Formats: sequence, C-alpha cells, structure tokens
Amino acid sequence: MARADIKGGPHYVRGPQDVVAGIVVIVLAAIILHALSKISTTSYSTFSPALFPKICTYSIAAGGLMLIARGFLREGPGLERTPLRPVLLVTLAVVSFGLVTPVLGYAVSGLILMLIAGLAARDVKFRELVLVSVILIGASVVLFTYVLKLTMPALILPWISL
Amino acid sequence: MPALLSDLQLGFSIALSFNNILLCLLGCLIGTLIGVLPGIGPIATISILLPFTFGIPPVGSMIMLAGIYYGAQYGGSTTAILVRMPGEASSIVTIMDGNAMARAGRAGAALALAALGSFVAGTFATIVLGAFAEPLGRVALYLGPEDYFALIILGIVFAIILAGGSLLKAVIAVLFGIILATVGTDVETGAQRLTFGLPSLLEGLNVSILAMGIFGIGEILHNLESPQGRPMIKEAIGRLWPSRSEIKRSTGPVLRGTLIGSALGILPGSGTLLAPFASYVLEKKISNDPSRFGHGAPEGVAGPEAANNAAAQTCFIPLLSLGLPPNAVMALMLGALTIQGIVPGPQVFTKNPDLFWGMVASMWIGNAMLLVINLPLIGVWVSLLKVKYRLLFPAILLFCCIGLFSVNRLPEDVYFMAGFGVVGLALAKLGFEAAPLLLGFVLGEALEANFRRVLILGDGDWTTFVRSPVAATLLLGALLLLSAALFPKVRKGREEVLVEG
Repeated sequence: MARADIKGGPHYVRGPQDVVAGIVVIVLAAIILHALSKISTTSYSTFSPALFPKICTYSIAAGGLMLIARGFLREGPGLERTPLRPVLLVTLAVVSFGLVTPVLGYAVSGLILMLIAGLAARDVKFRELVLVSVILIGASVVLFTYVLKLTMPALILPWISL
Repeated sequence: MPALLSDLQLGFSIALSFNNILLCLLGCLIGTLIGVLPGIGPIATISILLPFTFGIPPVGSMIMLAGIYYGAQYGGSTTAILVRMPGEASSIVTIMDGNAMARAGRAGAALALAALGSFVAGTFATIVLGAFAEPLGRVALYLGPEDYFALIILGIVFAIILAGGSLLKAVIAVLFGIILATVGTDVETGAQRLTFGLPSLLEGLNVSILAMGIFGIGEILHNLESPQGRPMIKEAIGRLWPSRSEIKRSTGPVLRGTLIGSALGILPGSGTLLAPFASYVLEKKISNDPSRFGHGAPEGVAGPEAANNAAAQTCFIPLLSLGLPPNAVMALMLGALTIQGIVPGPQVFTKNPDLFWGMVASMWIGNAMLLVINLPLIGVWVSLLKVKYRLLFPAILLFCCIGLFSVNRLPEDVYFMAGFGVVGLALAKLGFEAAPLLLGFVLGEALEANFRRVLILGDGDWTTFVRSPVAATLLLGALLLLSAALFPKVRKGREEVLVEG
C-alpha cells in the first residue's frame, strides 16, 4: 500500500498512483482467478458457476493493465503518505470489540472500543474522552437493551448480567 | 387520475398512522443531524441503521430511511451556508452563493430560500414519483431476462459516467463490486465461490458490512488523516424571511431546478450530486447578470437546492419500479427491503401497494416536517456543529459495531467491517470511488441471475443477449454512451463538471 511519496521513483513513471493501483488490481485479480479455478465444474448445471465471475475478473485484470499503461503514458497524481496510527488504532478498537463483546457484553467492549479509537484523534483529550464514552455507553444500554430490546448482552459478569 | 387520487389516499392513511409519523419524524431528524455534521453522510448512517430496521414493519422502515436521505439534503445546506463546508457532498454548489449571502448578513434568507426551494421541489418530485413509478413498473413486466440484463448494464454505464474521477477506475470498481456479490454459496449449483474456506462467508457478504466498512469506517480513517479545522460560525443568522426581490428572483430557479433534479434523479449515477451543479450552470447561463453569481446571488442557492432535493426523491423511481437502484443510497434501500423479504420491482405495486404509496405520502409529510425542523429550529442544529470530530468518530464507530454485532452476534462480522474499512481507505488512496463498488455489489446478483437465464434460455447461444430489440437497443445505447465518454472533448467536459462538483 501507499507508504510514501514515490516522487523519487523512476522518472518514466508519470502517474505513480495509476501504476500502483494497476499492480494491486492485477494481484487481486490473480488471487480471485486462482480461487475460482478450484471450483469443480462437475455439477449437472450447463454452465460453470465460475463462468460469470471469471469474465468479470479477466475484465478487471485487463483494466489493471490499462491502468499501468496509463501510469507510464500520462501525467497523473502521486501517492500520498498514509499515517498508520489512526488505521492501527481504529482496527484494534474494532477487533477488541469483537473479542470482548461475547465475553463481557457490549457495555465493557464498547467502552474499550471508544477509548482505543479516541486515541486516534490528533487533538485527543483523554479526560473528555472518558467522560463522553461513559455517558454514551450508558445511553446506548438504555436505548438498545431497554428501548429497542436487542437480544445482545450488555454486561456479562460472573455474578451479574443485564 | 382518480386512480392516482385513491392511491394517494391509501398512502396518506398509512403514512399518517401514529407510528409512521413518528418514524418519519425520526428519519428527518436523523437526516438533518447527519446532514449538518460534516464527516458522516446518509450512506454510512443508513448502513448503520439497517440492522435496526429489522424489527420495524417494512413500510415504517422505508419511511424512516427515506427521511434520512432527503433530510440530509436539507441539513447539508445549513452547513454549506453557515460554515462554508459541505455538510453533504450534494451541497457543495450551495457553498458558493449561500456562504456569500451569509457573509453579506443574509444567512437567514439563504437558509430560508434553500429550505423553501427544497420543499417546493420535494412536493413536485413526490407527485412525479407517484405518477411515473407505476406505469414504468407495468412496462417492466414485459421485459425478458436479456432486456433486464441490458438494462442493468445501461444503468451501470450511466453510474460509471456520472461518477467522479477516472472512468477506467470506476469500471474496475463496479466489477469488483460484482465479484464481491458472487461470494458465498451459489444458489443454483451449491458451489462455494470465493469463500476462502471461511464459514462466515458461506451465506455471502452482507451489504451492511460492506457499506459500513467502506463508507463508515473508511470515511473515519480518511477524515482522521486530515486535521479538520473547527467549523466557525462568525456571522449572525439574521432575519429568516427572504426579501420580496429575493423571492421573486428565486421562483424561476426553483421551478427549473425542480425539473432538472426530477429528471436527473431518475438516471442512474449520482443524480443528487449532478443535479445541483446542472441547475447552477443553467441559472448562471440564462441570467442577465452572471457576474452576481458567486457573490451571493439567491438564484444560486434556490435552484441547486431545489434540484438536489428533487433528485433525492425521484431516484426512488428506478428502485421501486424496476428493482434497480440508481445510486449507492438506493442500493442500501434495496438491502433494507430484501432484509424485510420484499423484492423491489414491478410486483411491488400489486403486492405491496401500501409500501409504495405509504412511502410516497410520507415524503410529502416529511418535507413539510423538514421545513419546520430546519427553519424555526435552526439554532439547535447550529449548536450541534460545535461537536468536535474527535468525539464524533468514536461514537460513530460504537454504533457501527453495536448495530452489526446485534444482527448475528458474530465477531467475524465486525472484523470484516474493519477489514473493509481499510479497503475503503486504500481505495481512496489509489483514486477509486467507493460508490460504484457498492452499486456493483448490489446489482451483481441480479446481473448474474439474468446472465444465466439468458444463456440457459438461448441454450448457450451468446447472440441471445441481443436477440430482443429492446435489449439490443439498450446495449447499443450503453456502448455509445461509454465510447462517447471516452471522446476527448466529452471527457474533458465531464471532468470539469465533476471535478468542480
């Protein structure tokens, strides 16, 4: 993925974004084609279930080649730097929500989610974040568990459950 | 005509029930809220709410979701006028003259013109929807699979051309969306396609996971990169009622904007984005004094605002009468209907007339509500603009996760959402638009089903695709459109319009 500006890259690449996009597209198309090739065509149906997706994937690969070609022929946008901090924190927050919810309920996992994700903001103020998170979780429990009656555990503790 | 009246009567009797009025109000309030707030749009919101609509009757859930969509068009203009920032993508055009009016101390008048223009347009578009959707649906009953296949292709081509950015990348995005739609167990053969051995993919990808990931999470990741300046409201809003000359100057633009918006909304693609722009260009062209535009011309606010609201309503026509969503929001609506077990298409009018007419009637009620929500209560929304993004995005994330988890109670769903969030960011970095991908995803299933039907009926003969004159014409039209868009002159014009818009 885009790690840094490839301005210092080879000078014959005129649209770095297009070239990288084209390569990514072709790699994805190759993975999809590989997965589609494993589908057995011995079914009684006249047409292989892989036929339609294969047509689409070959078109995608052709599009990828055109993107690469365009990147060499035409001036295009470069690649931007992607700060990893927000990506990692937001992903971590969502994953911990998935891990913790079945065990402790969404009141706990939601709090963890908001606190981790909140750190991704550059101007984070931790005390404000904690306060807002606690209030919002409280409101969510009232809304989702008591008003909308979602069948989802809000809080699971060995001695108490909501 | 009498049939239309009795249908509308049925619609109002449904839309005016206590629960549906409440849902309509809720939808309009949420719509205005997310319209006002930059950083969250109707696509993310509707996908977050999709899981919750499961427990609401179909009519009610459609009334609410529709309210969010057109409510966001009203709310977006508030932010555009007051803080020179598009609350919604569709309100970019309003910034030019709306904010100029605000700086000249006419913010109240600009807000009123936007809301009144939207109201007039909404009322007219509701009638268009009521009058045209059913006849179109009746025509659709005569279409064979090859015609449907061609129609979907034409729709996709329209969407690609009207999407912003690179044409080639839009094509690739649509194709990826179609591929994603084929993931899961194939209905006809039982073969597992692209599941990569993951049991949670056996039933295919859920539209709300994809939309929440790419639009909800992806947008958050994108916004977190660029430090957003806090929106500042410097000027007083001033008197709400526009002056007589402002009203006089806005009448024509509102009516023309309504017509443009109603027409462009029906076309597949981003009608709500294109319509305000088309209206602005038209008003500027026919104006006696084009130089006033950009410096607070009321025509430049009233026309585009009417156009985007009209488009936000007529874009329901292809969804409801043909079952083909013309844009990403309608694609989610299709998802919402499917969750409820309703297949949109010509049969909706006979099988679920209450659904269609109830929704049409609710739109009129909703537009009237929005007038009140947006004008006398403007202060409430303005104060909401002060909510900082550093607190807004964890809240959005929380609702995404709770909403998604509550459906199947599977942690994998949430992981997939996070994964698609990263995909969404990568798409943006590589210059791909996410909307065509979502559209491809939603149309993919119908496209493949019709593709197969054609081949089976034609016994594997590929010429069956063009045997019917309707299908041949539609495919030829798609081909011509696509090749026209590749012409340098047309391409340049398209880029100019869409880049500025």
